[in-house]
Formats: sequence, structure tokens, C-alpha cells
Amino acid sequence: MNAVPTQDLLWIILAPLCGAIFNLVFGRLAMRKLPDRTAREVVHLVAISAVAIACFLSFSVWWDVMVEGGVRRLVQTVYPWIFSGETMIGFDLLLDPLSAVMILVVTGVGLLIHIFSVGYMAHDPDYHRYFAYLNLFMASMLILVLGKSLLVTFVGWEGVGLCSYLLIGFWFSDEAKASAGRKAFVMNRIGDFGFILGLFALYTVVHSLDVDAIAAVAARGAQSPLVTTALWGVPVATVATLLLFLGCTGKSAQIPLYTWLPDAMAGPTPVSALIHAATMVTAGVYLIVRLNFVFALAPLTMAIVAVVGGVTALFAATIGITQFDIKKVLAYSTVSQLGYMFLAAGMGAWVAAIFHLMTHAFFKACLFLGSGSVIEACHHNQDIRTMGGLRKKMPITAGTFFISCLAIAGIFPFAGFFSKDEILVGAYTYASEWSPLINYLGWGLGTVAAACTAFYMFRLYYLTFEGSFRGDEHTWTHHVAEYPIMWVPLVILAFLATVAGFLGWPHALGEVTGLHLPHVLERWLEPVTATSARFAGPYYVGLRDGGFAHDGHVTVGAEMGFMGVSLGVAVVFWLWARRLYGDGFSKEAEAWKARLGKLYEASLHKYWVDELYDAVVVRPFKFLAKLCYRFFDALVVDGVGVGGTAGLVGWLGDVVRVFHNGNVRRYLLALLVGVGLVLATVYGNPTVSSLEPSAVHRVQSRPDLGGLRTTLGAEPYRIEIGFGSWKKVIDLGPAAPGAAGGER
Amino acid sequence: MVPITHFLYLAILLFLIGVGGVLLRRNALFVLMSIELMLNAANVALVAFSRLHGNHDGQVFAFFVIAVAAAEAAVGLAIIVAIFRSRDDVDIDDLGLLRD
Amino acid sequence: MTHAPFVADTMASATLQDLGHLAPMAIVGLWGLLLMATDAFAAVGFRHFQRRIALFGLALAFVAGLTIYGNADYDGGVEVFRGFLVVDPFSAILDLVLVGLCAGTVLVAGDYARTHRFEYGEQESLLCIATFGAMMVGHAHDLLALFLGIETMSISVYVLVGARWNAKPSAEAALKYFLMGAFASAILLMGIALLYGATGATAFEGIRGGVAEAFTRWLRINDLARALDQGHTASPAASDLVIQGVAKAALLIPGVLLVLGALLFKVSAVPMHMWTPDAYEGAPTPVTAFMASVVKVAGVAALLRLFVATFSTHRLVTAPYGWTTAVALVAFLTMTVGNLAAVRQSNVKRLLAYSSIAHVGYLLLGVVAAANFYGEAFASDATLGGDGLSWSRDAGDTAVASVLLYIVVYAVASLGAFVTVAWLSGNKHEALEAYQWSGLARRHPGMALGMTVCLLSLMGLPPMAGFFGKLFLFRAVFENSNPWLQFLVVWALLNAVVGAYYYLRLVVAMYFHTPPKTAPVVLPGKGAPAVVAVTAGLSVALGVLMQPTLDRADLAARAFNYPPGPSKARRVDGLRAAWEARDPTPPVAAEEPSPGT
Repeated sequence: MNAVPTQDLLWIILAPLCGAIFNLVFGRLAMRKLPDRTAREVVHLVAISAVAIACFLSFSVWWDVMVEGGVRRLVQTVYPWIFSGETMIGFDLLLDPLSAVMILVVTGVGLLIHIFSVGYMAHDPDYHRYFAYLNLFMASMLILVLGKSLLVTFVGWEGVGLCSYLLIGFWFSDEAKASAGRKAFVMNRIGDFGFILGLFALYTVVHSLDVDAIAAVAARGAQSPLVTTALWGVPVATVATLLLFLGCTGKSAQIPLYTWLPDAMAGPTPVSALIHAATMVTAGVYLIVRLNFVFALAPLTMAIVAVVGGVTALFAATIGITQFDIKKVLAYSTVSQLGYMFLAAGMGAWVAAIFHLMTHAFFKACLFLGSGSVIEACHHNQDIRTMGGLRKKMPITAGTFFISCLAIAGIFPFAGFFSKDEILVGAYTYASEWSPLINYLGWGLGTVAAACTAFYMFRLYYLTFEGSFRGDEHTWTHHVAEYPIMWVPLVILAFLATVAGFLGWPHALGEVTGLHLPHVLERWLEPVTATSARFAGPYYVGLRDGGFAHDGHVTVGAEMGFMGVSLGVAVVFWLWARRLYGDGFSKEAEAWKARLGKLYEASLHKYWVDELYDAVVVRPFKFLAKLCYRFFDALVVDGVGVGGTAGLVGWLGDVVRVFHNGNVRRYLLALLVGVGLVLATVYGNPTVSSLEPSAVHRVQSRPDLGGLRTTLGAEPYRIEIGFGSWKKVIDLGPAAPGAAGGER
Repeated sequence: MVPITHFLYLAILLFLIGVGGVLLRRNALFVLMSIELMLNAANVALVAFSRLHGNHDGQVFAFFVIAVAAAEAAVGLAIIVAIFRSRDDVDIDDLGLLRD
Repeated sequence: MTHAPFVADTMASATLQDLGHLAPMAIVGLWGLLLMATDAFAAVGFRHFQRRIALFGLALAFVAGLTIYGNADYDGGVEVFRGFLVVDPFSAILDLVLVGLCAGTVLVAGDYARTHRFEYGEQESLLCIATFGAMMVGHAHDLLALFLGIETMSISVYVLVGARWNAKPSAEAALKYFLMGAFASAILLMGIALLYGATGATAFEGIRGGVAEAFTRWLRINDLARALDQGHTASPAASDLVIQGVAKAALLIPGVLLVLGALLFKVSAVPMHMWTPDAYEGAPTPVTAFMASVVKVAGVAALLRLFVATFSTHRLVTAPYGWTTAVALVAFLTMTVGNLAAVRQSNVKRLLAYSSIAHVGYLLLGVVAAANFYGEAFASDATLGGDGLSWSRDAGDTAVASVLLYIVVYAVASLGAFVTVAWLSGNKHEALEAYQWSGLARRHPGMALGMTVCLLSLMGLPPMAGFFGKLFLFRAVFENSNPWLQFLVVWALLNAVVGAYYYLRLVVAMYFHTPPKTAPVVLPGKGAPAVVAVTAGLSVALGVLMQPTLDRADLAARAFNYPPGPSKARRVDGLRAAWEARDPTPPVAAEEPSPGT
């Protein structure tokens, strides 16, 4: 299937970019000059229509061309970007099944969140700035997703990082929020460092950053230079993927670089929904699946990815159990769910990773937007200890929130059930260098995390929406109503969270129920995962030997078993959460808290990881910086270096100035000296002065010159050098017309 | 016939006289005249070489040089007059307003 | 040179056609004369129309330039007036740039002159004529064109410098500049005469042939000298060969070096730079801006046209007979002295003057590198019978492109900086001391921002065009395997650090110092802010859109050091073709039929 050139892709990116530019340039003017209401109308209409155009274009190009037209690869060459020597990096866009899934999710969810923001940010004075950043984020994310070259992807990668920073610190006058933005930025920079090094490592072998070129090199499997070339004694594939994975841990908030994401909740809640749940943080997963053929060539990296993902999933889930900030719970939940995706990606279950990415985008966006509604309703209070019983005030929000909780907890038939189940099955059954140990580990971590997930999500739901209200009277009576502009997106997302799972209908369920739906997503992503699926030997991606492979699928019995376990666990912990928190904090919950003691404390304080980083990294770093400043900078650089150099330079400057004393004759002399200098570079050269005389003076000229030969009536072609006895006559030979001067 | 070398010696002599004048004289007018001498030295060389090579490029060039030299002299004299007006002499060693 | 046989009745139409090729230059020259005429008939109140007329003409020339710039027929270069001038992408770029720079000056010069009460109607005319001269240098394909262009430009600028009759420094600056300029012209002319003597031609192509011939004869001197030393009797033909080679080279090399010295004066390289700070300081500030941009561009264009394109045979660029040693030495001196002298300057105009000298130092490195590469290419073509498509030639092209890019970027930023200085002189006392710039950002945030952008571009800070200019220039030079050049690149980087110091000093003064009690008065009119806005915008835009700019410069360079003909067109198309020929077929999908459909 050949790639088809197209011109449409660029507009998907340009539309939000134009919206961003409009709001950056004219938004402030509009907000100042127009009446407030009109100005806000202008700002959000521009922003929303920009995203709507992108969304419409995405859907139309996907449906018309990819589904109806049967074309699975669209390539647009926008611009020969960097073009120097042998390096050719084009600003090329690629729409293939994988990026199609991504742009549909990004523009679709993005559109809903833009609409929701109109309600949430309705009274913010920096309305235009907010929408401009949001649009800019959309454009960057689409660049990230659509980039054909990894360098283009990197542009988007940095762009979303920048927008994330700007939006986390959106209310930058609050120092804590601004510093949360900075934290996110710094953490991401650490990851980006890995990303760039990873790109360099790939470039050393492939000599291109084009995804297709990398695929072509990787397609040779064990013979690929990515494997056979070693960098520091390790195959390049392993080095590069490890470095890229470092970038992913930063962007997708995995251990060890996850701590910025909970702090990033300082930003407006729709931002959390869009950037820190649905789209940006999944970029790492996207990158791994995009480069699945390279990752598959690095079993070590794969194992690390899987283990890091599994551990993160459980680790973050246990923190989520004890948090009281509604958004913090969701943030840790996001970290945990991203861990699932990495677990799947690390096991080679690419489709499961993307499947969960998609369903997670729906239900997590819904949860975040729901929490946004709650926060808005409770006058920007985020503490669930002072909430409760809100279902009576905001039934739609409560309903959608509940549906999303069912989805994320993995209750049949909501979306999360299918995707999470596929991940857990994949974790248990897929092959790895370290099978079966890693399978047990991954599956165990995932299942325990699933239990925690069900528990903390329903804890959150019951504490927020059920029971009786625990806040003050004023908040309860002056409750903000639900507006359609806020609940319509919620309903749509809840609907998607309900039905999206059917895109990945498991084979086993078909056997059992007789309802043979195709696994749509798996078929759709087949071209993307095809290369790595063909690898053999140590790089084999697929089901391991364990007796559960049947006709390319996991056997019905095994799959049903896994489903039963995860569903059972989810239901049990759901019910337990209901018992503990169904009506506020029950006595039993307090008893458990006391019983767990230190463990509870540890979870509540997020295992003191922030403090640990502060003590181990930040403070020594600051100390070192101070030391550098005190000793090296102040003493060596400023004292001897800058002071000395500046003094020297200044002194030399004074010396030079002496010559510019305004006297023309001195200037003229300098000019002549300059010309002399120029002449001296040739005539002062000993080679020249020693060669010339010996050559010239020894040669006798022809005796019969006589000065008679004339050409064109001109002088005889001869030159006399010197006078008297030093006289030499040089014959220039017959003048050749046209030889030197052309036909003139 | 006079060999080409002799023209060359003449041109170089004129040129060096011009250079000497430029460097040694302090009266702006004389400096200007010395520069004219240098231009004419080049003219001599150009015409001589034109004859040597048997084409007319050098002679054409010389005509243009004469025109340019005239323009240059006109502008130069105007500037010297302007200087003379403001300070009543044209000694170039006295130009000290502009310096570091 | 391929000339049609001289036929009288085709002469007129050929001339008209050639003028069409030269439309931008012809329009600017014509407008210079027209403005002179309108000024003669102008009533007193008519003077400000001069500016409008001039701007109209320049706009016309710019549009004409655009048509040539965008016309692929000129990619290989078209010779006009029987090889006297040439129209190629290089000259097309220079035409646009020079016209733009001239328009920038015209926008400010009138306001400045009126404010300082030395308004005169010929100003716009002289600016146009000087620009005409500069454009002629850009088009030059003959020593005569080069000389006439330089002189036309210089003589006009002498007048412009001295035009501020009510201020003593102006006349003094004019006299200094004039005496040195005329002296340099005389040296240039002597050099030209010697070149003509050696090669028998004034056209660049002819000179190139003559140079090659002289050195071909010379190549065997060493062998013959050794043979003669050993007592063999050389055959008369052999000795003739030696003497002919020596005789030609004996005229050729001093000629080359004298011309080089004079051109180095025009671009104000150390030690021929002495006039620069004085003339820049004494001249009316818009004229200073003109000198720092237009005149400098013309000087560099002359160096490129004559030295890089014509005097780049192997022997002529390599030691011991080459001119590049001199230029490298001068480049070293130029950047060092320029930067050092700027450090201790408190006068903004002088500071910028020295900084412009320093920039010439960087540029000269690029000139040396380009010539070295072309020299290598020449040698390999001659000895290996190459078709001129060698790596060295590509590298030379890249170096020429980066020099072109750098001078354009420099000229734009420099114009902006000097125009800001001119703008700050609304009363008789110009705000030339750095302390008077304190707190400018608070009083005039827009202009301060524009000035800052221009200064940062001159400094070479990453998002600005100046950074890319430096990057590409230094990279091109560094490609050269010559360790001395590589050392000079390192030295240039150190110099750039020194440069950052004095540029940032101005920026810091504008942004972080408290403004003085008496605010500097600014020029009336929108001209200066418009120019600063455009130059600052270009300084950013050229950086952001570096690739098309670089492509264009590359195109210009490719048509540069190569005789016109089909092979040149081939080279011009090569870059684009390589890009188009990339294999867009994705290897993954190509290997296996998709199971999805």
C-alpha cells in the first residue's frame, strides 16, 4: 500500500494554530475594547471553531480517505525544513492508522473540552490567553502526532511541553501554581534530554529521523544495524530506546519523573482534563507504539518499560487511595493508568496500549470535567472531606462521573473493562526475554492496581456525590447550577466511555456469547504493528509458550479466567469502597486507617517522594550551584576570569584607541601600511623571494629578438627589466589574439 | 620604439610621487593634486598596456578614469572649500574634532 | 563571452533588451537624475515631495527587481552590454537588498535633515545615485564596471557625508573620508592597470582566462629552474615559457594585491579602517546608516565578484602567491581591533562603527574559505579533468552563500540600529552617549524593542537571523581543513563573546537603567519607526524562515563561480532535484500487502 500525497493534513494543524495566533494578537484588544460578553463570545467562538475545523477535517479525511477510500497512508510534504549536506529533514506529515486514532481522539476530546472551558473559565479575566494557549496546545499535539520525522514529532513534543507549562502556571500570580509549572517544565526537560540523545543515537545508525527510514532499517530484525551496531558495547537499539523511554517517563509521568503531574493540577481543570489526562501525557505511549519496531529490537528496554509501567500503576494507585484533593486523586489515577499503558507497550501488546489510551482519554476526560463541575459548584473547593451528597444538586455530573468510574474500574460492559482486560491478558501471555517471571510480575502488579483503582475511584465518587454534605451551609445553598455548556460534553464523553470498549471486542467473548464482533482496533492498527510482529528469535513479539495460544488468540478458557478475576476484583473493591464510604467516612474506614498505621501515612504523604527528591537531588543541586557560584563563579570566573578578561580586553581597547587620534595623515599612512601588509604576505614570503631571481636571472633570452615582431600594430611583445648591465629583455612571444582577452 | 617597460617605469614613478605627496603634504589641496597624479599614473599604464595588447579596453578605461577623476576633483574641492570656510585653513593636521 | 557580431541595426534593440535585464538598476539611476531635475525646478515647499518621488521610484525598482528575482531564466546568469554587466541570482538578491536599504535611508534622511536644518533637495538624488553605483558593483562583470560602480557610489557618499553644512564635524568627516577614499581609488586603479597589463582584458571572464594562462606557464618554473641550475641548456622555447609566465605573473600579483588592498579599504578592514569611526560619527546619522549598510554590501559584493569568483584559481589563492593569506591576516586584525575598540566606546555611533568593522572581520573569513574551496575545485578540475561538480565547489558555493546571507542580515540589522540612533536626535544634540539611552524601554518600548532585536541579531543570538548568519558562516569556514582558518573561527567566536558584551551593555541600559531627567527628543514622522519595525521584523523573520533564505543564497552562489552555460543550470537545479527525488514510498508498507484491506 503506497502512501498517497495529500494537502489536507496541514490544515488540521493550521486551524488551531490560526486560532491561537488570532487570540494572542487580537484577544487582548478584543477583551479591552469590546463589551465583556461580546469579547468572550469572539474569543471562544474563534477558538472553538478552529478546533472544530480541525476535528471536522480529521474525521472527514479519516472517513472519506482511509475508511471509504481504503487508503491507509497519507503523506504530506509541507516544507523541506533542514536541508544541509546529507541531512535532509522534511517537515512531513504522516497519517496512518495509528496517527488517525490519535488525531481523532485529540481533536474530538479537545473540542469537547474547549466547549466545556467556555463555562468553566467564564469569569476569568485572561480568557483570551487561556484559549490561545489551549489552541496552541492542540496545534502542537497534532504536530507531535502527525510528524513523519521524529524531529517534527520533537517540535510538537516541546510545543506541548511549553503549553503545558504555560497552562499549569496559568494563574501565575499564585507562587505555588507558578512553581508547579516550573516543576513540570524542569521534569520534562530531563526527559527531553533523553529524547534528544535517543534521536542522536538513532541517527548514528539510520542517518535519518524519518519514521519510515527507521522502519526500513529495523525491518531487518536481528540483522538490522540497529542491533548489530554497538554503542558503548550495547546495541544501538537498546541505547536509543532507553533514552527515548527516559523522555517518555518525563512526558507521561512515569517513575521516576512522575511527580510533576499531581502538582500540575494547579492549572485550570479543563486543562488537566485535556493535557494531563487525555492527550499530552499519552504522548510517551504513542511514541513507543510509533517506534514499536525499534523497541521490539531491544528486549531489555521492553522489560524495563513493562516493569516501570506496572510498578507505576500500582504505586500511583496506592497513593490515590488516601488523597483528599479531588483532582489529586484523579492525577494519581492518571499516572496509574498511564502505567498500564506502558505495561502493555512493554509486553509488546501495542494494540492494547493504544486501546487503553483511547478509552482512558474518554473516561478520564469525563472524570476531570466532572470534577471541574464540582469544583466550580463548590466555589473552588477541591477537598472531598467537605463534599458529599452532591448528586442531589448536580445529577447529570454525578451520573456521568459514576459511568466513568465504572469504566475506569473495569466493570463490564464499560470501555475500561475491555481495554484493561486486554492489557492484563497481554501482560500474562505475551513473550519476553524474561518470561514467565515478568508475566507474573506484570499481571500481578496490574491486577492489584486494578483493585486499588476500583477502590479509590468509588471512594472518590461516594465521598463526593453520595451521603450528606459535609461543607458549610453557604456553599450548599449558593450552589452553582449545571449549565448545558458544561454537561453536554460530559454526557458525550460518558457515552463514549460506555461504548468505546466494543471497538476491542475480545475473541473469547465472541466464542462464549456467540456475538462475533471483530476486534476493530487490532485490524485497524495491523499495518503499524506488522513489522515488529514479523520479528523472530529473541525479538519475537506475540504470545509466549504457555499453552494458551490457540489460532493466534488466547484460548477462550484462559481469557475468560482473566476476565473473571479482574471483574471480580473490581466488583469486590467497588462494594468495599461503598461500604466504607457510602455515607461519608464510616467508622470502619477510620478503623482501617488506624490498623494500617504507617502504611496509611506513607500513602497519604505520597511515600515522601517529593521530599526524597528534594533531599537527594534538589538540595544537593542547589548546594552545588551555590558552591559553584561562591567559589567558581565569584572567585574564579568573576575574579580572575571575567574581571581579568574584561580588564585585559578593556586595556587592549584603550591601546587600540590610541591609534585613532583623528589625524588624517596617520590614517593615510595606516592605509598604505595595510596595502604594504597585503603585498608583504606574498613578497615577504621567503619561498617567493628565493625562487624568483634564480628562475628569472639564469634564463637567457633568445638572441634574435630585435623588437621587430609586431602584432596588430602594437609594440613588440617584450619587456625590459632593469637598466644598464642589469638589463634583461623578456620576450612575451607572439601576442595571441583572443587567448587572453577574448574577442574584445 | 619605446619598450613597454619604460611606460611602466614612468607610471610607477608618477604613482610613487603621488603617494609621497599624499603622505607628506599637509595642505589638503596638495594632497588632492597628488591623488590626481596617482590616477594619471594609472592612466599612463592603462594606455601603454592597451597598446601592448593591441586592444582598446585600456584606452576606454582611461577615458572613464579621466571623467571620474574630474568628478572626484570637483567634489574634493567643494569639501575643501567647506573646510576652508569654517576654519580658514586647509591643513589636514588640524582636523581633530573627530577622534577617539 | 559569446557576442553577437556587431550589427548596427540590432544594436538599439539589443540595448533596450539589456536595459530590461537591468531594470532595477536602470530605474534607480534614472530616478537619481530625475530627482536632480525635480529639485532644480522645485519651489521651496516642494522639497518634501522629493522623498515621495524617490520612494515611488525605489518601489518601482523593487518591483522590477522582484520580477527578475523570481524569474528562473536568470538562474544561470545573463550577460548584458556585451559582458560588461551580468544579471544573475546573486545580483538579483543584491538589487532587492540595496533598493530596500536605500529606501530605508530615504525614509529617515529627510526628517533628519529638516530637524537639523540642513535640508537640501539633492539628498534623495544622491542616495539614489550612490545606490545605483552599489548595484552596478553587484552586477559587475568587468573591471570598468566595478571601478565605475565604486566611484559612483563613493563620490555621492562623500557629498552626503559633508552635506551637513551647519556642523563642523560633517565637513571634517567628509574631507577625511574623501582623501582616504580617493587615495584608495588611486591604488585600486593602479592595481587594475597592472591586471590589465597582465591579462590583456578588463572583463572578468577574460581576466580569469589570463590568470589561468599565466599560471599554466608558470607551473613549470620550478622544474626548469632546477634544470638550469644543473647546467642543462634549456631550449629557447622553454626559457620563453618561463619568462612569459614570470612576466605576466610579475604584473598580475601586484595588481591583484593592490586591488585587494583598495577593496579592503572600502569594506573598512583593519588597518585600512581608520576613516570608519570618524566618518561614521561626523556624517549625518542616516548617511551613516547608509554607509554601514549599502556601501558595505557593495564592498563585500566587489570582493565576492572579483576575488572569490574571478581570482580563485588554485595558484592565486594558495601560498606563496595567493591573496588569501593577506585576507586571513587582515580578517584576524579586523575582528580583533574592531571588537576591542568598541568595548571602551561610550559614543553609540562610534561603537556601532567599530562593531561594523568587527563584522567585516567575520565576513572576510568566509571570503577566504570560499576562495580556498574554489581554488581546490579549480585544481581538481584542471588535474583530474573533473566536470566542476566536485565537493570543493559545493563547499565553496556554501561559503559564498553564507557570506551573502551574513552581509544581508548584517546590513539589515545595522540599518535598523543606526536609524534608531538617528531617530533619537530630535534636537540639535544627538543622544549619542550610552547613558542617554538609559531607560529608553520605558519611554519608547516599541523602538527599544526594535533596537534590541537589531542588536541581538548583530550579536548573533539564536532566534535572530544574525545567529544563523554566524552559524552558517563559521561552519562553512570550519569545513576548510586549513588549521589556521579553524583557529580563526575559534578566535572569531571569542570575538563574538566580546561583541556580546558591548551590545548587551546598550540593551541593559535601555531596559534596566533608570531614565535620565531630560528625555532625548525624537525625530518627528513615522519614517524611522517604520524602518526599525521592518528591519527588526526582518531580523527575526529571516531567522525563522532561514531555509528559504538559505536556499536562495545557495542558488545565487551556485550561479556564481561558474561560466554560464548548461552545466551551470544543471548545478542550479541539483539541490531541488535531490529533494524532489527522495523516495516517498514507505518501506514498511511496501514490503507486505496490507492485511487490513
